[in-house]
Amino acid sequence: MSSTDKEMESWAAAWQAAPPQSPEPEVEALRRRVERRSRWLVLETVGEALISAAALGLLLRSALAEPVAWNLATMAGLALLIVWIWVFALWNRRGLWRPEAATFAAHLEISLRRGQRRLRGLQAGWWLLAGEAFLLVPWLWRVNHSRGLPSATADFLWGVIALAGLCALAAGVLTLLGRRTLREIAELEDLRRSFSPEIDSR
Amino acid sequence: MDAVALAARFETILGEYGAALRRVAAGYERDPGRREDLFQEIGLALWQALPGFRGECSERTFVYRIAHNRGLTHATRRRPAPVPLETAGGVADPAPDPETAAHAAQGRRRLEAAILALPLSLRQVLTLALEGLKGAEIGEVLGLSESNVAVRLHRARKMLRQILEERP
Repeated sequence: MSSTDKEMESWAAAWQAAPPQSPEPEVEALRRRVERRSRWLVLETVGEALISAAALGLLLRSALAEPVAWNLATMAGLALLIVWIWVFALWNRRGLWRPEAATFAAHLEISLRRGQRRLRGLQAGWWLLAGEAFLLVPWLWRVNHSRGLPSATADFLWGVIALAGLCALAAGVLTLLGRRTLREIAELEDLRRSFSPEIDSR
Repeated sequence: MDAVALAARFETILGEYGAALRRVAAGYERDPGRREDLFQEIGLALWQALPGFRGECSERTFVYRIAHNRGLTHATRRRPAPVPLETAGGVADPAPDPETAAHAAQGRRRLEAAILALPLSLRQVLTLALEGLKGAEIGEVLGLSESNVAVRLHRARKMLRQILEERP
C-alpha cells in the first residue's frame, strides 16, 4: 500500500468517526412537513390569485363609480399591470419546475438559472412600482381636484406622501432581495467556473 | 410506490446513510445548529425525490446527489457562520476511554475544519472519496468525467495536506 493510500485511509477513518448523534428525521414528521409545505404553496398561490381578483374587482367598481375618461384609463392601466405581472411570473418560471436534476452539475445550472430568473422577476417588480406610481400620481391629482374642495392640493399631497411611503417600503424590499440574489448568483457562477472542464488542463 | 413502501424504503436509506448524510452536511456547514437544519433539509429532499427514483443510477449515487444538491442550495442561501475552530465539530464523541475519545474528536475536528477550508468543488470530490465512493461514482454524483474527478481529488489531497501542515 502506498503512503498516499495510507494517508487517504487515515483521513477516511477520521472523517467517518461517529459524529455526535441526534435523532434521525421521523418519516411521519417528514410527511407532515411535506404536506405543510405543499399546503402552504397552494395557499400562497390561491392567496395571490384572490388578492389579484379582489384588486381587479375594486378597479372595476372604481371605474364604474366614476366612468369618466381619466378614471377609466387609470383603472384599465392598473388592471393591465396586474394581468401583466401574472403572465410575466408564469413565463419567468418556465422550464424550472423540475425538482431534482440528474447530477450536481445540472443542479448547479438550474440553481443559476433560478437565480437569474428571480433577478429578472425583481427587475419586473421595479417596473411594476414605476408603472403604478406613473398611473396613480395623476389620478390622485384628478380625483382630489374634481371634487372642487378647498383642501384638494393638501389632500393630493397627503396621497402622494402615502404612495411614496408604500413605494419606498417596496423599493427597500426589492433592493434587499436583489442584493441577496446577486450574491447568490455570484457564488453560483464562481462555483460553475470551478466546475469547468478547463480545470483539467490547468 | 405506495406510502407504506415509500416510508419503509426511506427508513432503510436513513439507517444505511444517516451518518454519511450528517457528514455531507458537515462538509457544507460549520455551525452545529445550521448543520442539523441542513441534515433535516436533506432528509426532506430525499423523501420528496424518492418516489421519482427509477434506478437510473445506484441508490448510493442517488442519495449523495440529492444531499449535495441540497448542500449547494444551503451554501448559497446562507452566509457562513463564524464559528471558532474548537467548536466546529460540535460535542465530543462518547467513547470508553476519555483520553482516546478526546484525541479522536480533536483529530476529527481538525480534519473537518481543514476540509471546510477547501474550495467547494474540491471539497465535494474529497468528501465523497472519504465516504468510499470510486471515481466513476463521484463523477455520476457531480456530473464530472472520471479523469476530471481524479485531477480534482489529487488537488484536493494536496491542498488538504498543506492546510493540515499549516495548522498543526
